[in-house]
Amino acid sequence: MFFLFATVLTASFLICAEFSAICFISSILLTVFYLYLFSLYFFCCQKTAVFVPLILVSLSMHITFFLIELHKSYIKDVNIWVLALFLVVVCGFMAYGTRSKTGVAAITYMASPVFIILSLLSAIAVLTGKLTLSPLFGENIYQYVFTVVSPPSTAIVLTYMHRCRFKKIFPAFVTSIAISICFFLFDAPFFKATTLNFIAPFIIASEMLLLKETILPSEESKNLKKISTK
Amino acid sequence: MDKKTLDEIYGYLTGVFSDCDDFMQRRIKSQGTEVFICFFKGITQRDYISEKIIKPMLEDIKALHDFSGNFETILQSVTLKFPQDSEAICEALLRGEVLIVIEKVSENKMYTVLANAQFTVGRSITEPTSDVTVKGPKAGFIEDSETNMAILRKYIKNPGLKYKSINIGSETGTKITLAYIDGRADSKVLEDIKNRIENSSATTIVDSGNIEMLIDTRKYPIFPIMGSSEKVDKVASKLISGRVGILVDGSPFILTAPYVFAESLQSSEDYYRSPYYATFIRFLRFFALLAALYLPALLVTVITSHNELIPEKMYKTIEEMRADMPFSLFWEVIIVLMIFEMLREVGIRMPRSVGDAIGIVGSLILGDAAVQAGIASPVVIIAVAMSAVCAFIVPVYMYTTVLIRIFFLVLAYKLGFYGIILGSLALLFLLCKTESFGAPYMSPIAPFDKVGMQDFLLALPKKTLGRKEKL
Repeated sequence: MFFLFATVLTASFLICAEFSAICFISSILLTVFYLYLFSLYFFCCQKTAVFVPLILVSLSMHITFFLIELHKSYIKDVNIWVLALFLVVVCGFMAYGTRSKTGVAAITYMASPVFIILSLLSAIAVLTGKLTLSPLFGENIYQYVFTVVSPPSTAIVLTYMHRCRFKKIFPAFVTSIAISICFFLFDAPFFKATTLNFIAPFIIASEMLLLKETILPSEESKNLKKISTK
Repeated sequence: MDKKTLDEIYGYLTGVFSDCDDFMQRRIKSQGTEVFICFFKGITQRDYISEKIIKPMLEDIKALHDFSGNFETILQSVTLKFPQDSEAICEALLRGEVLIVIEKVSENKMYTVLANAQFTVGRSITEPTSDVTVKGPKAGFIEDSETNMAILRKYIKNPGLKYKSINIGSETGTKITLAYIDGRADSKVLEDIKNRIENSSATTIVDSGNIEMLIDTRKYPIFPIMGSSEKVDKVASKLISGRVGILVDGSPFILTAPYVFAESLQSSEDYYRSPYYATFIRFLRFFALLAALYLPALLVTVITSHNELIPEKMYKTIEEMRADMPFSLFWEVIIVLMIFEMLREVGIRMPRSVGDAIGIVGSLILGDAAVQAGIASPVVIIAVAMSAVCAFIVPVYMYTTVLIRIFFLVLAYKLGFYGIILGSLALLFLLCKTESFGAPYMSPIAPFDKVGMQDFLLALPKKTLGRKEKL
């Protein structure tokens, strides 16, 4: 649970940290608010169909962000549409799962190795990077829309996959903020780009998973027990 | 017993084993008592048969005349078995047992028994050719499973060490023995393996590799889910840590299950030397595995798509080296990789002396000649050679690495660094979803187990040896 929350939250925060300090901070505050809200929602109700439009918007924004980021940074001589297709295939593969493991189990299992890689990369970013002055405000309105849309979708996905109260995920929440700050304050472009592109698919896969579970719920999802409120 | 008279058994066996020159038989008739003895030469001890079976009967002919079914009064053989039907007799004879049939013609009674007189044809215990270590026991398993069982018993003097044998393979009738320590091995895993072996419809089992393929029910078996070792100490320590061993008669490789990814980075020698050095070596193995997978792909992507990632001077040097190359970097890497794989295959298949020579010719002369001729650049030769050599550090994934390396190479060529990242996520997904007989393949990383992590990359021998691992 710790790794799942920490990894997906870091992915969400890092995307907003790419824009500006305002986007980063509002993303954190909004995520806390929505995590609390959805933990209450999933305590009394389990329907996710009502959130499908929001998740769809967030998913398309995350995919767009991923491709825009690639386009503006290192990409050369690579067909962006082939890359987009491969991204959707890999994320879909993770979200759908396999015969032996549903997407919920697969993404939960994958979270711990991804988190370990993430922590290593953040440590390298701190060691090799230099302090940077991040912009306070973003460049365009798209970034602010993103900051408002992304937190609720992240919160829905996480509270759906592991239904628990906010206080139980507090350590994971703090860890994800700490890792995001490492990348926000220290300028190590290569490792930052690697990290972002390594965990951005993770958040895309998580959103795809919720859409898939809404339409085609797995046995595991059907049998999900009510939240542990202790 | 489906055959009622000695003549019936004689007729049946001589029919089944007709044209078998190694099938030996003897009929002795004395005062209303008829004895029929048969066995296969080569797989039975002829001295034992004449001393312990035939001689006692001939020396005490009176006891043979008074025989009433108690074979222990006329035979000196240690193990005696009473066959249920004629098929069981055939199987036992082929395993190296001796059939003794005594018929009391006057009483119209027949008695049959099988005496064990197996003769083991095989080599002596030597140091294994794989899993070679500098420190630690040198004993390796051999082809005879009974000898292997005995060596294991010598290492684990524990009444909990159990062996369960099953015969499978309609053509080969191979003996498969499951070894486990009662109370340590998971009974569900044991039952699962047993069921998979028993339910298989294999006709030919000649090596433990056949069993590995046979009981692996996954649709896409990319990563091995069973360990395989020739080293006695390694298998013994795995049994102690709760694994189930599979001994296949005729194979010196013992399979162990469940098998997890972490085991591929461990060597039995790690527990016989300084834990600090062992930890260092484990990290080295891990990085070597990464180099084996990613090095050629990273070279292609860095030079073709992301050259700002390396120092400018280095990039210029590489570009100068490659200035007159007729092929693109991707094709150059592919060609060198294929040449290396061919040389490796030739080196393995050829007789050892020729293989070594080919290795030298291939690696030194051919590599140098390729550079001189302008077919491959030195940097490609270095990257491919490094990647290929690194793959040997983790032999379990030697063959898997070859395929994944090419997959990453294609991704790097088509999609650059992001293709490699997405490919890595897909690979990680496959690793995380794999299970080895119910145990998560990526344990103790996924799911995360704090205690298990102490024996993943870190080596803490005193704490780990003898502990039943949590899978």
